[in-house]
Amino acid sequence: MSASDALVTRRLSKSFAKHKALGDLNINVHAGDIYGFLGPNGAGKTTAIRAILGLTPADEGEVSIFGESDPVLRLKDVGTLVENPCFHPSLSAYDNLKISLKLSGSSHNNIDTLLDLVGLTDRAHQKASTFSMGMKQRLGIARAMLGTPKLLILDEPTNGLDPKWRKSLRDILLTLSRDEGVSILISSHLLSEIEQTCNRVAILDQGRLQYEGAVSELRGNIQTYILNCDNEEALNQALSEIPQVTDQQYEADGAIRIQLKDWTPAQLNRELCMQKIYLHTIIPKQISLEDAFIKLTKDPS
Amino acid sequence: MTPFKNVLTAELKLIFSRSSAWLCIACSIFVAIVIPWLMSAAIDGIEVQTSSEAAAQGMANMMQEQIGKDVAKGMGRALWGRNFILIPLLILLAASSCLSGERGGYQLRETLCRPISRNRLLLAKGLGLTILCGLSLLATGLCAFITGQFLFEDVGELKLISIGYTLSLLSDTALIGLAFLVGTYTRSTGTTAIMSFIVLVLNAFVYFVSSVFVMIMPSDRQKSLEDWIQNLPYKSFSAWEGWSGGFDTEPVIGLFLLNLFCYGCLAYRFQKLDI
Repeated sequence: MSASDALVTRRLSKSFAKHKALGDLNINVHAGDIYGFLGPNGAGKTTAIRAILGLTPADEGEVSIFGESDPVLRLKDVGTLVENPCFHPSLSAYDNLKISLKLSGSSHNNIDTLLDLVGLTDRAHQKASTFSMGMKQRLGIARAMLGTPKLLILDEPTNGLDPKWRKSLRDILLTLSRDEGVSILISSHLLSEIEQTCNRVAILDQGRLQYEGAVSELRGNIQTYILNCDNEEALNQALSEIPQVTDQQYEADGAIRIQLKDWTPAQLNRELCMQKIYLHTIIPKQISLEDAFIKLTKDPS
Repeated sequence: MTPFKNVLTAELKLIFSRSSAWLCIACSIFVAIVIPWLMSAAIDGIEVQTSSEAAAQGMANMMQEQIGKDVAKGMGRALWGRNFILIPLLILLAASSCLSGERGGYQLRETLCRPISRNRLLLAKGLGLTILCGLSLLATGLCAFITGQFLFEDVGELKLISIGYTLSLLSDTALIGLAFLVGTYTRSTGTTAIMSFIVLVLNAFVYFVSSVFVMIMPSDRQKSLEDWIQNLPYKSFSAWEGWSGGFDTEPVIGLFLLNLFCYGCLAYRFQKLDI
């Protein structure tokens, strides 16, 4: 675990009674990464974040943030937004941030700048309990950025945000990462958001890591091809008998979408020609993050 | 790591942002003014009623002595009023909202995402609430002293009263520890306060049942059993009551042990708590 890595977990495990919520999780967030943390409901994303932050004691495993593994000291430069943000109801938005800043031990007071950034300057002195869900979420984002965090851990940060603020948040995160080198871990269900923001992702399913790497690599790993020919029925029949063809599906326009295992499109074309099936086109198509996610988690829901 | 001073300041701000804290101080001042005044009124009433009957003068003097005719007694009775149900209940509420309330409302989770160890946070919360209790006792003592100066001629013995107030503070910290400990099992202010109150009521019930049991025992065994019930937690919680007739050692030691027990169990439980 090196200090140049923003966040590293090794064999992080957590069970609740007999249910293994997290099993041997190894992730590596590099400094400056915007890292997407994906997984279906109940995959263990929030449990992992809570274990990383020491909110729930892990059964075993190690967590290191910028090379520091002490459960308290490692949180020194971390800003967090875990699930729905909660505030002290009797205090104003400004006072809530002031208390959080005091508790963070940071001497860099950027409350006014952050309130301006999330559009809450006019409401700064109103009680946080009177805020709508979206406003609380924005205030939670401001709280995560208090002081000078080097790592932001954001669990579902776009919850309750309207499209305008979703885009603003995306821009803020990209600016933070690009200009200030802040590393960001975002857990989200919104794959399109992750696709537009993150350079690396981890996909979790049933508490286990299914994939970790660059978004482009994930898409590249799973290449699909769209096949067109005159005799679709014969093509469909022939493809179903070739073991190297996987995930065969009809497209809306009658074309057939396939994935190839251990074969190139040329090898497929030669095999089909031998069976007297002549293709008009073979169009390679990169799959979306959503398709990759569904394939890796094997849960279309 | 965040300096302890920052954590304590933040906790104090939170404690005093809640109405239960200010209500606690207000009630402490109220009882400190009303109780000496009631004592004075009662003494005056006894004088008026018995002035015409010289034979009853001795009886009247005895009753006046029982009520108390000096500043120290006024402060002692005010302490009794302060520690009678309402203010301990407000302290329980403040302690409950401080830990289980924040846990249920997820503010505790936000706090623990900062570089603060759980023990430090617990210490800051306990110390913050102890400051509140100290202020409440100071308000009661000071107001009762000032009111007493106006109402009574004698100052009386202040040393025992001071010890009584100090032990009352220790009794409050035990109460806070109890509410914190119960609060590690729940996520609601109300449930914690009610459960802690039930523990206190059960505690009193055990004491009174034991007392009745002692009374029906043969006289040769009564003495040893009377000594034994001095060790019950109920007597420890009310160790401060010794201001009127001297302090027994057992309840005072018991009070220290009660604090140790509550905070020891709490520290252990809080370390393992899922926030």
